[in-house]
Amino acid sequence: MSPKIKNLLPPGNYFFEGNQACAEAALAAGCRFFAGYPISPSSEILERLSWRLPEVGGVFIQMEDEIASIAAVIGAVWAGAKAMTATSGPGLSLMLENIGYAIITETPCVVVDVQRAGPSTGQATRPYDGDIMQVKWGSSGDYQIIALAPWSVQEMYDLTIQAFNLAELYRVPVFVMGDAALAHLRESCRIPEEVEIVGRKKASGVAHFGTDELSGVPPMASFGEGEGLIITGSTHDALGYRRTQDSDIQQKLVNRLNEKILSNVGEIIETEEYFLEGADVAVVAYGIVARAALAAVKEARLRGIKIGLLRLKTLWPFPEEKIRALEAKKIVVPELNRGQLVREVERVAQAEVISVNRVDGEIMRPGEIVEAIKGVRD
Amino acid sequence: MSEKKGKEMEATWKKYLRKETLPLPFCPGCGHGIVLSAILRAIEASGIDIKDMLFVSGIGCAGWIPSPHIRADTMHVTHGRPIAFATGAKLFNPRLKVMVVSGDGDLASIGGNHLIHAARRDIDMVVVCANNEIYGMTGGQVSPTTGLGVKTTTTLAGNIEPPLDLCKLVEAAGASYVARSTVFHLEHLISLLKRALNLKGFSFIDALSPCPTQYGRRNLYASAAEQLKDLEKRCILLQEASAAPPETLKDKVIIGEFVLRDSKQ
Amino acid sequence: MNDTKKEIRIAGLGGQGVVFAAQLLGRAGVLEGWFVSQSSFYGPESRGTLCYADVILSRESIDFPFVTRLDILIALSQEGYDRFAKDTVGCTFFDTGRVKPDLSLKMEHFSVTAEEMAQKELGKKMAANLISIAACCAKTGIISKEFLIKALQELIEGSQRPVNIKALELGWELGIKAVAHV
Repeated sequence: MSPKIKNLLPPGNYFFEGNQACAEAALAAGCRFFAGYPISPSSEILERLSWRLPEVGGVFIQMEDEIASIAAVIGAVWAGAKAMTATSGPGLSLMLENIGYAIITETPCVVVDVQRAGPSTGQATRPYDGDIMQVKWGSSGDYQIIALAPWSVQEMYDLTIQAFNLAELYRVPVFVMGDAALAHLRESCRIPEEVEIVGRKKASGVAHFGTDELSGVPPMASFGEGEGLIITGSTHDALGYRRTQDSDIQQKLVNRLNEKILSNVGEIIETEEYFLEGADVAVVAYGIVARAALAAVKEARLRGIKIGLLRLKTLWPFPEEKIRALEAKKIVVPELNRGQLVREVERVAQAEVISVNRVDGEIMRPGEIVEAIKGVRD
Repeated sequence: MSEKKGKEMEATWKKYLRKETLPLPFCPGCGHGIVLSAILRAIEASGIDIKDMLFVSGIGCAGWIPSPHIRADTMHVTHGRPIAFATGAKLFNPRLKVMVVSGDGDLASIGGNHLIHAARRDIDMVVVCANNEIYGMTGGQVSPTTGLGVKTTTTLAGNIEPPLDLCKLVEAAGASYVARSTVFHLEHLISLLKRALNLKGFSFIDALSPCPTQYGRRNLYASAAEQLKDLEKRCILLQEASAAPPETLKDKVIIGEFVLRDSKQ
Repeated sequence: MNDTKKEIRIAGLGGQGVVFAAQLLGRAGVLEGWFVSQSSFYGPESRGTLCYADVILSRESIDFPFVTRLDILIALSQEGYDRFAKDTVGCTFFDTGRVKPDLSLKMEHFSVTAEEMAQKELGKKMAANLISIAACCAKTGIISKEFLIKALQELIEGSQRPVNIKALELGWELGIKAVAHV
């Protein structure tokens, strides 16, 4: 861990929209480059950073599209920056090829995905958990990424900082999965005196794309340091040389790109538990829906139902062990989609899994979850 | 230039190559090796420290011109996107001397939008299009710079789409420096590269480079050498073209400097 | 009414400053020490159609950040009143010149001559939004005048401050004197 730095805004209690909190958190985490393209409901992040980044000596550019935005972010990271872009589902679709490039070149970067109703253009200002699978599986090949799901404006701040830290620790793209409701919700947001940030692990004259361990994370250099970096999206050896016909190197690279995340799930995954001890029913929820779920669980408990909540702050890597460890007989998974993350819950759960869905672009309300809980119990 | 001096130059610019990556992967008669040598000779003549250079390239044969052969920072990226990656690197670290080297399919087709907008922004970088007028690596398909009537694996009866003049495109978009040459006109090409390296702003060089394997053999060139020599016949210097009657220029490719505006001023 | 949590909705037409009023109320709430959630709802048109914004003030951290039980409605237009009055459980503050209330509804109705005062005292109808929220705060005691003014100073540029502070003060006086219709 690198030394703590002084925060940029004076510490205190702010009243931020989710998108504002996210932008300020990026600056606090050391982000000094942002490239993006306007898309609702994420545009306030782009707008705020267009004037805030120059204030802290950083660089902002509005690119010609989302493909160019993530490309510029990756280019800037290799030039030494901590960098971020922000978008929504349709823009994320355009970014996915270069996200694959960031994965294979082990480029630390942060992508904020302010989700909205789809498919395609869908409803640009309506909340939806539409990209839960897109972030995990959208690019080609076989890989791991990290995705975090904030449930409050405060967490749009806290988890954006964490996203930068995880990106540096594991040299991987990290997604902050917001949504249209959280993006424009205003809440109290505490900016602390100091935030812990992870700096880039650098070394010269070493292999920047391989380690002796099967699951290691190599250090990286930046352009202009005389390292003669060889960076390629093709399969490469530890020094970066293209090895497009070597099956051993392909296997070693793919395994390490996956294992550097999977063998560190204990360090990466964060969840919160409410009233789970002795609960017959467990709700597993994430993002803004988890707020409704917590209210619903409290209400159901007042009615004498033994129920608890497992809230997932980390969506990917998927918190399999936490789900497996649930002792409840039934698991309720509310989502703003037709059931995306519930498939992962079903894959590992030891109990019956019930999916509760809302797909009309409206927020799920506590009452709906209470009804579902009552139905499960009957 | 004397014979002796030419040999000395050759001996020195090769220091910029990673010897372990040689020989180059290009087909016999391909012009891309000549583009690589022209770039390195121009860098040497310009007195630029290669350690300050960043080479960004895309997908296709031309993407392999700098990567991994040049002993400098190289970034070989996704298809069509090298200019966008280069933009991020250059903006964050303006001390980097950035050169994009890629092909006509990469820069003009899938990456056309990035080419337009980098020229519009006049981002300080040199973009070299190693233009072989075809998709070489994927087996010889028609590209946006393929001439009318040319046979490719997707235009068996001859290309019916008119080609794009990349120099006119980037000039209209706002580039500071726009020029064209060919690997046949090596010294001319080197002089354009030297000029571009010493300017600030967006410099674009269209470098025609023949592809005997995919283009030449389908379009009745007797040999790679004949295809190379044909560049001499097809091309006319801008100064000569300006004085020539328009009807004589119908099938000619004009080479030279079309825009020269140093945005330092 | 629940003393540890208040769910407030400001409803009017696009262009009446509904969202700004909610933002101001929310910011003042944070200064006052409440946990606050504030959300806004409007159609693609910015002028003349129904627009509403919610503020939740809570003494405990807020689980669900959207309104589930509407305690206080501040109606700046008939459309806003008609749409939400029947769902309101606590009280309604309505603009006397804009809203004809349905007094058969079981809640307290407070009439505020917001637009009239804004025009007469400030020459600025637009300030009806601030007069209305100040009246609500004065009557219900949810936020003090000091924090309303402090929040306004944070949100508004210097030259525009005096007239808007005057609007809050006018609203405060109206609120203190307001008597419930029955």
